Amino acid sequence: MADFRESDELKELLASYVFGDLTPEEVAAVNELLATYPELNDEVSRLQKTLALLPLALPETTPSPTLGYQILQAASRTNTDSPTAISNRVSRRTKAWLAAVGSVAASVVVGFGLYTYNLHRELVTAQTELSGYKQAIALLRQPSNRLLTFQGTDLSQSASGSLVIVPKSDVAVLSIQNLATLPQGQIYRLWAVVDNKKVYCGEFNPDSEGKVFMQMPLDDDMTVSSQALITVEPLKRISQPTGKTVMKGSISL
Amino acid sequence: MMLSNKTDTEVFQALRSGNLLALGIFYDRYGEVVHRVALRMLGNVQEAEDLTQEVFLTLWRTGKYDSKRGSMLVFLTTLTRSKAIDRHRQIKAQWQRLQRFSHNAPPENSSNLMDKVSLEEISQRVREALAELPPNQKQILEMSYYDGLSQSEISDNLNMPLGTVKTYKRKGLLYLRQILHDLVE
Repeated sequence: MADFRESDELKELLASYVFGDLTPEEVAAVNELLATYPELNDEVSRLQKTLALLPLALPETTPSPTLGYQILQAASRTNTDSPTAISNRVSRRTKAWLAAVGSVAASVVVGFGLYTYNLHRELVTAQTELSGYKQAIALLRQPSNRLLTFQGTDLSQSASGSLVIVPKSDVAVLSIQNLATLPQGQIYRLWAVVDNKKVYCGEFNPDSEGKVFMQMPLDDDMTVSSQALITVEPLKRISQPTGKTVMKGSISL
Repeated sequence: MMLSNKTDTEVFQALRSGNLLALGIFYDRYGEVVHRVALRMLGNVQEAEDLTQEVFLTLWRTGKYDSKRGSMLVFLTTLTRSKAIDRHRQIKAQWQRLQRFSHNAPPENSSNLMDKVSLEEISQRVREALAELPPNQKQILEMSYYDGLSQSEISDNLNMPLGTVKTYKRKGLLYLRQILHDLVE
């Protein structure tokens, strides 16, 4: 005898179940079946997902370019129901340090979120969005928000920037202006100076306008360091800086 | 690694910890699809954007998504549809009926659709799958899903026997599930 679980009748019954087309009695009967044969739940799940994929067949739309920005603005005015603590990997020493700067850093979180979010989009066409950028940049540029301030060395005099620690997001944000583009095969690297040792934190290249805006995971070395360097390095990853220092950062808070 | 390169589950963890950037990333990944569903169901650009905002703010405020219960994509399209139905409910009693299957969230499954295939690919697959359906089945599925029509209303509309409508609707879904089997496992 054929297995009824493979029968077309059962499949059609489950399809009607997923559509919500069954009478309460039929629903009760299907629920009983699902309890008796739990493997049938997989088929119900597949049918529900198929139905949920249906709207993807709709033609693509173009929501207003500012919609994402508006949503983030609205979200920044409301909190989530369940904010959780900073990741456990942040040490006690770091926490003490973070507590001191927490209130300042928290104030840039919103601006940081909006700004980085918009960078991701590369659709900076609308004027409203542009003004959003400016506000966010202004937030990040407020002197009190700077934790480590960077200045170009003689090799890169016009370059300036800052490293902002954002404990709420568990990231550090590096922002630099007027940094020269490097020839192919070279890259900038950021090093934190900890106990006179240089610890690698991240690498980057500026955009065509000489700007850098990147986030890095919050790292203990980064947070306990009061000095940092940016050097020019070959692409190959070396654990210590070998090239010239183009920028120096020191704590400014 | 940049948050934007992470899986939905990881980005959702960041969102739960209050990271606004995570919400921006979800909007980048799924905002257009949510808007697509909203526009089709509400038929009005302003309302569609309004609903899109409501959906993402719900995700932000309640953080109810559970990756064990299905992909973020399925969660958001289901939520959008359910909220579109909410908006219509006061106007049209027929939308209540749809609640039954929109609140039926897919059960436990840890697979993450978006980690495997891009949204454009999935959209293309679903379009091709729908194009393979006999036109009647496709039409009945769409009338039921987007317009919230009951089987007997569809029967009246298309001047088609009720039994045939029921059969086409079920067969349409089963056929889609067969074609899209790798996306819904």
